[in-house]
Amino acid sequence: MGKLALAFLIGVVGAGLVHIAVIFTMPDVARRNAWGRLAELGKLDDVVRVAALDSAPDSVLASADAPAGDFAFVDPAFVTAGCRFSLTEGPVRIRASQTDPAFWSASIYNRQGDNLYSINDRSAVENAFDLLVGTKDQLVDKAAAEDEPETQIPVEVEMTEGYMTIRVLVDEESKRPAVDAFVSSMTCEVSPTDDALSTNAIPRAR
Amino acid sequence: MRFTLLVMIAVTIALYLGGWSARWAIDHSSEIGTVVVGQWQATPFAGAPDADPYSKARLAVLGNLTLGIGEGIQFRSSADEAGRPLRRECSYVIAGTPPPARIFTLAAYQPEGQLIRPSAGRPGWLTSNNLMRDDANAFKIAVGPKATAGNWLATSGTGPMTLMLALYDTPASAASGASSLALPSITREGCLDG
Repeated sequence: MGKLALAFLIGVVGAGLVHIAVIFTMPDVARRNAWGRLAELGKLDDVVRVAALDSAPDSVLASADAPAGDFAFVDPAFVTAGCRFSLTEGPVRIRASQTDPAFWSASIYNRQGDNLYSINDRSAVENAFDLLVGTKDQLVDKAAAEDEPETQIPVEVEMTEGYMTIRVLVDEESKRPAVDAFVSSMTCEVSPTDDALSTNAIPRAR
Repeated sequence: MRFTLLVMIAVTIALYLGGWSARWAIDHSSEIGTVVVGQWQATPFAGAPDADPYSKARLAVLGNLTLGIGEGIQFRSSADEAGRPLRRECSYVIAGTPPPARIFTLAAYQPEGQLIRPSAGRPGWLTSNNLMRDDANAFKIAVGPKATAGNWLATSGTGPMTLMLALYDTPASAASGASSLALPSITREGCLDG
């Protein structure tokens, strides 16, 4: 009988350990996190739009099976877009070739969903959405190799995979075409440093 | 044989109880890191790199697109001033002064986060740029299925609802500022029968 009690006790202590382990590994193993849901919408480096989940007018029952890339509580007053990127092949340039006079706000997250950087139209240079995301070394290489455009903002992050989201305000329907054009002009692309100019061969003091 | 059985009991308890308690904690840990202002709740730390492990696990399971710490803050409410749950068939008045934000928006959702989209031509969301305000810069927003003069956020159908007030580019999105905000009140006016 005492052994059975001991087994229960060990079980309960083990349950505590399992509990802690599950909580801590959840951000890394969850497949339906924001990264996973963005993956359902498009490939790496694709700019995808996130639509607000709709409930049809006057329908009481919400559909039980969630559609691909469903995000809850998406603000309908904004056009929301995002892209996933990987820094393994070099820094990633995220830019929109057009500028938009309306309010926009963008954020960079790592794969686990930690917010690492945020910017909005007022903090951007000349209202332009133009970010170069990379690790410290990548950004140093890039800056040494070429002159960056004036509007470009380097964003130093410590990660290998992440995603960007941008929200562009549509406060009047008449502004939607302009916002659509702004979002459509966005690209996320790897912009590797030219090999000839790369200083990878020379070990750099950290 | 007996020893094996005891080990199996211990392992089974550990796995099931541990897994169940972790799941329970994620489902019910929404209060951790929540800031409550009047009827509105927000989780300003969702998505922060230094958030607590329960918030991080919860975010991973929910898979929401969080607002960055510097981007803004989203307040949600599912109860009126008297503590009654918000209903889609009821009319509410949301009154207050604009919170310190460059833009704020108001929209109605189902509790799971699907947008309640009213029939065509009715306003399903409001932004601060288009709000009508009185002399004292205060605003009143009517929320409900019946058309109202002034600011009106249309709802449709029946069932519970959650209102979301999102403040963008606001000084309050820093953790310290959120709880000292004055947010609008939600008062129930009446309900449609049926």
